[in-house]
Amino acid sequence: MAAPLLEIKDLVTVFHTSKGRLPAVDGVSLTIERGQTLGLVGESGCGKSVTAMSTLRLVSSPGRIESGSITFTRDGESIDLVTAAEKQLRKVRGGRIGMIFQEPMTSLNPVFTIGNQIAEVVQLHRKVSRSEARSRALEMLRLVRVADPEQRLDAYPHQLSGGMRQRVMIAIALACEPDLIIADEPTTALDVTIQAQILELLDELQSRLGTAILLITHDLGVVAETCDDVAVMYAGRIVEQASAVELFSHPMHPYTKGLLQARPNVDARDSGPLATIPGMVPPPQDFPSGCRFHPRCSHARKPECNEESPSLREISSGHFVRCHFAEEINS
Amino acid sequence: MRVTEETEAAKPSRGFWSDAWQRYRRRPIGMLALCFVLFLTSVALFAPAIAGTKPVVCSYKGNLYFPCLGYFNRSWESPIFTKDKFRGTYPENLKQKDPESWAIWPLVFQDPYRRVRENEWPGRRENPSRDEGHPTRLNLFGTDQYGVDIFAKMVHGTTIALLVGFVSMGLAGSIGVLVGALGGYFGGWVDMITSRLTEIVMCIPTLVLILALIAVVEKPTIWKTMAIIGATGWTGIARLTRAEFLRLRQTEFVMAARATGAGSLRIMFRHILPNALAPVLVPITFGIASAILVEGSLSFLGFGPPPPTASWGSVLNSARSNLQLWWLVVFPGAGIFLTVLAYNLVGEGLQEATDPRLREAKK
Amino acid sequence: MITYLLRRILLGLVTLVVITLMVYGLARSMPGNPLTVQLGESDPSRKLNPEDQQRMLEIYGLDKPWPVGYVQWISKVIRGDLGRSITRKQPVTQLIGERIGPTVLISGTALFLTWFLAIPLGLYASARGGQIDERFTGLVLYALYSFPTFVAALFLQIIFAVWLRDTRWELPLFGMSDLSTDAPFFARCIDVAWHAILPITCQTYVVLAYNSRFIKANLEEVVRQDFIRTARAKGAGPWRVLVHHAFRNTLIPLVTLLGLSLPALVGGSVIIEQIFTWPGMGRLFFESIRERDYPTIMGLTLMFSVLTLAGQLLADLLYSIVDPRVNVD
Repeated sequence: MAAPLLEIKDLVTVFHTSKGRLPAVDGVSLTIERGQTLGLVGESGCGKSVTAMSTLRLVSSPGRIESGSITFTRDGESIDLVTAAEKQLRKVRGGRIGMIFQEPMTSLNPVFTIGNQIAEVVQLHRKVSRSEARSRALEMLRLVRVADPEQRLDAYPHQLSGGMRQRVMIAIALACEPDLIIADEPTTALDVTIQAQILELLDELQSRLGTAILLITHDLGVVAETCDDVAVMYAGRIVEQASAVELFSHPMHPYTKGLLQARPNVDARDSGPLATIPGMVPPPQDFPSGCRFHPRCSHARKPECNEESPSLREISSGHFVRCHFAEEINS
Repeated sequence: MRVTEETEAAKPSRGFWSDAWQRYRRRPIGMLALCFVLFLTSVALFAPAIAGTKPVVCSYKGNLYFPCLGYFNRSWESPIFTKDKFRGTYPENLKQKDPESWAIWPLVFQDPYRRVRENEWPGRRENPSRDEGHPTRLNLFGTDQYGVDIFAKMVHGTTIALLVGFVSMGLAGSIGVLVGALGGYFGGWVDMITSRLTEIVMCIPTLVLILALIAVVEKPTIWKTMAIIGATGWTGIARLTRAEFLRLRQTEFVMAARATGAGSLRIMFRHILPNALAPVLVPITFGIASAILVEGSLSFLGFGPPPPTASWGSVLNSARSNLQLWWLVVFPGAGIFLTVLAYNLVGEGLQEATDPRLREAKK
Repeated sequence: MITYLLRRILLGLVTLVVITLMVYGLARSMPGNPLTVQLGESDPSRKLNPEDQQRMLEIYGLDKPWPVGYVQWISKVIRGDLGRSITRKQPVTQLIGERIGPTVLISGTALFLTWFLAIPLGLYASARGGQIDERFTGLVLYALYSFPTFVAALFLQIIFAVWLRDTRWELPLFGMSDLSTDAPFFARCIDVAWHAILPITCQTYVVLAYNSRFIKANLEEVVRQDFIRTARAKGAGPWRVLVHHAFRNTLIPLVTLLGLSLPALVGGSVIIEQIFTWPGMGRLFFESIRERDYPTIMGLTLMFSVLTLAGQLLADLLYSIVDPRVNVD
């Protein structure tokens, strides 16, 4: 079997601050196959964005990847992005892996035109002339369905709406036909109607171009609509991983269950008040001992849960759960 | 991270300042600068006890006196010494006029305002002058062309330098905060007038304005100089205060205060000002440095307070025509430089400790 | 655009009137007048007798209260006449014309050097942020920034004019030229350049230290923005990120700084010109205040204020050019 497109193994990213060494990502492993969409889900502060940034080594000081490997394979050639030389890494960034960020309002450089910014990524990765890059930019704007692409080419970011800007970000990410797109909460900052449009666009482009997507979101609804596989993250660790179908039909980790129950269900009108998970995701300096979810878990038992850290176990085929009592809870 | 930061910025309480202090303490250079400023302050406070020719404490005809206070204010020196014709020379006169007397002397027996004469201190020769005035054990920083001790001048000049910094920036800070607060809080035509006023004062070159004002007040004293520096140095503070007030008057806690029926003045000074204090304090600290610099330049140009005020800049002024006496440049020059540097570093430390944006980056 | 400019210029004119009115009132409130100050200082025996003085005051229009004098002055200015210097017996415009060259020689060179060095220094400082060499240069720049010009000038004079006297490194202590006006042109140029080295150094270093720190601070601010992350995610190298993406954004505050340095370019530095007895505008300003030479004080104030306001306008216009988000209308 061919190597997967991207394989993250035991990634540990820490922030060295005055509060000490904070492991924002603590041993995360993920696999993305060609053309697949993997959803990485979790509440804010659980380390999913840091995971995304780590993949392209974009974590800036005081953050640092401490250990683990990120193997990116293309045409049978594998490189480890954690140890790769800066120059090699730059070829991957924007060229092989595109990235879309959460804040379309601030992610575009305010002093350059849209056309310029799309053309830049083309010129960085392909030997093309300015005019070729420009026509590629125009093509990309058409592809992401920006209205009046010819005029928008010379517009500045502040002249566009949030949704438009996110389309431009997608155009930048896709301009070099990458094998993978990392989308870090691409719709969070947008209006609900725009959110749907952007997701639809991503979905459509993926099926057309065959790009794999690592979709980072806190919105389970988004995951259900777009993803093939799902990994749920909590406090720097993956707590459950399965195919989307399996996860939604048979959630096993108490946290995943809680997340699913906390979702408003439009169909069941009289299902009573929404269930919530008590408490908040602890910040890295306050990670509890043992299972990091145990202070918020209704199934937690002493002494196992607060003393021993559970491992990620395969409970059923392709379904991994990090819980001491996964079988018991779900039987 | 962002959430905690916003709540901190929204309502600085005592927690805000102790937080800022925690952050400030982590910067070794800032702490060093702060220590230096404290050192200067104690030199300024105890100047007459460090260098002088008047006893710190003396017992004379059965009473205790503190003649050294005369360096701060003439009238604080007991009139008995004038009556008994001491004429400023204590060691000899004390012994002659009251053999029972005793005295505690300043650490260095040298005077900032006059040359120490032969045998004024038993067995010590007269201060050298001109080319012979090299730094020696008796004259640590040398003497000027008239034989006056530079160390004593420097020590007493510290008092002047710090006073200039604090008094003029106190004045500039009050004017700046008041003008900026009025403009920023009321907006409209009030803002129009205060902003124009600020702009006009900014348009006139500071040094020229100061020189003209000094000429107008005729006999400049150190206090008038301070007042003039303060009266011309408030524009930056006013602009910053205005910006802060503009920003803060929109916030919830101000709305809440207004909803409870608090008056404008109360809102401005009880609710907004404490929150605007941190960003306004930074330019004031930098302002202290620049006020010391301006006073130095004025004295250097010969427009400072007249003698016998011992200001660092006036020592430099006397060096201009005596360039071969390098010690007239090195010591006061280093004094001004280090003081200005220290205040700038304290200001910078304060800025980094209180600026939420910079703070986030340093996490 | 036109309406914006017109409004700014109109507002500027009002500001100018207020400034000149204030300075005129201030100048006339200074004790003494050009006649007493100048003659009394040089030779007490030559003091004018009261009748002569009164006559002279009438000639110069100084016998009337100052508001009248101001109206006379400003109505002449509107007709393009800055008046004649009382103490120098020369038209003020001619005086300014004589002094502006030497000042621009110093401050122009200093301005050029400042920016020429500050930009690479700022870029270097933020590229190497936190490294040991950057911290060291940062500290040196900070120390330079706090170093008073007049102290530096004295140090330089001691080193180059006293200690290095009679060596090949000796530099002239003050003045602009030692050669007579009939010396060959080339030799005179060299001589002036030689004299200008110390004043230029003094005027450059403080601004250089300030500007490079300013650039660095702004770069650091920009580098934290999201779009820098986007640029890195596109595969742009660190140098390209810094120069193309970050520096282009710091140009916005930089042009403001550049606009604000316009008045200093022509106004010169009072202290430096005074220390090095450089025959420039700053010294002229200083002397005219001392001599109570009202027309010169006013001429210089007017020029300086016009330049300050023009600099601010220029900064705002440049601002709208480098920042597409800003529209002057």
